[in-house]
Amino acid sequence: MIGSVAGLMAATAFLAVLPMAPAFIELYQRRDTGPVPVKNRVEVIADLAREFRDAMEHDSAEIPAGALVRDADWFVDPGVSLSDPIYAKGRLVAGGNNVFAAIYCEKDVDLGRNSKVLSWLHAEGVVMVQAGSRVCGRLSAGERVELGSGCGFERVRAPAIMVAGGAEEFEGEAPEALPQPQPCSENGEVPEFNPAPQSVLELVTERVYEHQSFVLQPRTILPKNVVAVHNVHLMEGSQVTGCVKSNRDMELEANVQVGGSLVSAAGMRIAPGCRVMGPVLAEGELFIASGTRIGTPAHPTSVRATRIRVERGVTIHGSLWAFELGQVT
Amino acid sequence: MISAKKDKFQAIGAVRNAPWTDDYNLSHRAFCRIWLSPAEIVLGLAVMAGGTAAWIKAIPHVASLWAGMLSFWLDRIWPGTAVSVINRTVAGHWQIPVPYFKVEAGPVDGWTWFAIALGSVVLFALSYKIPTDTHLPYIYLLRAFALIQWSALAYVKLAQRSLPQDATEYCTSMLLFGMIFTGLIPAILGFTFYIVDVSIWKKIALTVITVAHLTLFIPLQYLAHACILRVSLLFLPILYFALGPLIEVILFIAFYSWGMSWSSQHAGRWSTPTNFRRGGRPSPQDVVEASRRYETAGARSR
Repeated sequence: MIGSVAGLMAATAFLAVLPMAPAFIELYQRRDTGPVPVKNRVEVIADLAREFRDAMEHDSAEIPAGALVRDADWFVDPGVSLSDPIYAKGRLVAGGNNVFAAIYCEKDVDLGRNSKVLSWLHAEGVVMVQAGSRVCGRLSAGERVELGSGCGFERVRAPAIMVAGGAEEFEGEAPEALPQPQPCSENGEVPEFNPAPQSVLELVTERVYEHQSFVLQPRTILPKNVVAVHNVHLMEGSQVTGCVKSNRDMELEANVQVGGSLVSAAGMRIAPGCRVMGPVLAEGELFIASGTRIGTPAHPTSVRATRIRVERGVTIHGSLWAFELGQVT
Repeated sequence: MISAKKDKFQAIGAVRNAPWTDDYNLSHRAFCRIWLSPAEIVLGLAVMAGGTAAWIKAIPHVASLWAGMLSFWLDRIWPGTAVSVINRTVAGHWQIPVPYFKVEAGPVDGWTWFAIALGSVVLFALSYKIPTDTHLPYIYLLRAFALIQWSALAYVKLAQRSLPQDATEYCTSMLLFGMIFTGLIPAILGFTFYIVDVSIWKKIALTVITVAHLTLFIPLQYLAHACILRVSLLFLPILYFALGPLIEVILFIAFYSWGMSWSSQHAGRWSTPTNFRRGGRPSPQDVVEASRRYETAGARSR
């Protein structure tokens, strides 16, 4: 009897443990542990285009059927739609009202007015997107991207992204540091707003933690970071050397300068002439007014928001990513 | 707004589905979602309903199988113990056949009570010897078991009578529970596993394996309970809470975890909406149509 009971217990225990065998094997062999693989192409937005170029150059089996290859400069007649990817070794000029699936160009691309690219567009030189055009997916360039009035975009990356005349305002070497704000008082001093730390955390992190809305007075320097539970309002000509985060809307008046990042959990409005050195992130709508410059050629950064509206004359160094819709107004 | 975005994605998806494009340009896996085609939903529901119906149809045979398994072991443990199949009424009118066998429960007082009380106290004390930094969950588990056992001991001592439950009734009821729980497996997997991007054959396989394993395990589990209750009925609460339905749920989770580790049928493209990853290259008309729909969707979303 005892042997039978022991047998019963052993059989029961075996059946109880058996389903856990895969888990125990994994526990000791550790085959699945590790970070979830994320494709680099998510961040490097020109990857798709360069994979296509490599396939074309090496005549590999991955060359998509129907791919169009042009060795010389190519002028695409207005109104033509091409559903196959294009590999252009020379300059590509689209006459206007064209629809392309994807374009890789070793030189410059001039996308005519009211044209569309549905998947991706990359040029090793300059990409000029004329007024009214729309580039879905990825748009990148080795030198710069110029977006015309009324253009739509999703993901753009280039050493310089110039929006409808932004290039003209920033010719020449761009300064790598923020200039000193203009004095507002008669004695020529620039007032500094540097509140005493309210906690050890504020002291260590060199930040101002505001439980309500934060307002920085005009032409005032704040040599710290800012975290606000409500809105953030940086008034005209003020300067923050650190980063600014708001849990609600953020507004920068004209000629505001920020040395770090801008992060808003809601919308963000950047007035004309502002300069931001770090990333700009908004979970709502981001509006960037004319003359604003974000990042520098030596320190490119990223601008990301759910919806982005950009005015003429804006220059961004790095990437511009609208999760839903980007529009030049 | 959502509809407009969906239209836009479906429109450009027709173009991005081509071999020279990436899958849908999602930025991060956190933004990914499960896309099930109507065919996948219908197939999953069919398997779910079919599995449940098959189990209902098989219940009398399962009851006979369990009775045979119990007879095999009981002949060796307590020769002469008869096993029969009786009908139990569930929800007022459903007659479910379930094996029945007599279990003589052990005493709950006298030396048995003291021995079990002493054992549970020792168990509780041992929990203080376990290192808290590496084995904290085991400590709480042991103390919880000791507390459950103490509740049974206190009830018997304070009420001056045995536990209200009967060992025979307990085993029969738990076998009935096991019968119902196993029958729910297709439905539970239908809502939790059939929505995962694995092939339908893997979904059916996991369902069959889980049901088959529980079918073999449950009669042995409650016969083992009967053996322990033969020592003393005082073990009934701890058996129910620690080694009863909890074990069956753990087994289900173990199988489910195994299934969830199986590779996706569209490995590497799991973020791609199902509607986009199927089909061939887009035609020029597709491109123009996608462009037009994209414009419309964009205007609406604005």
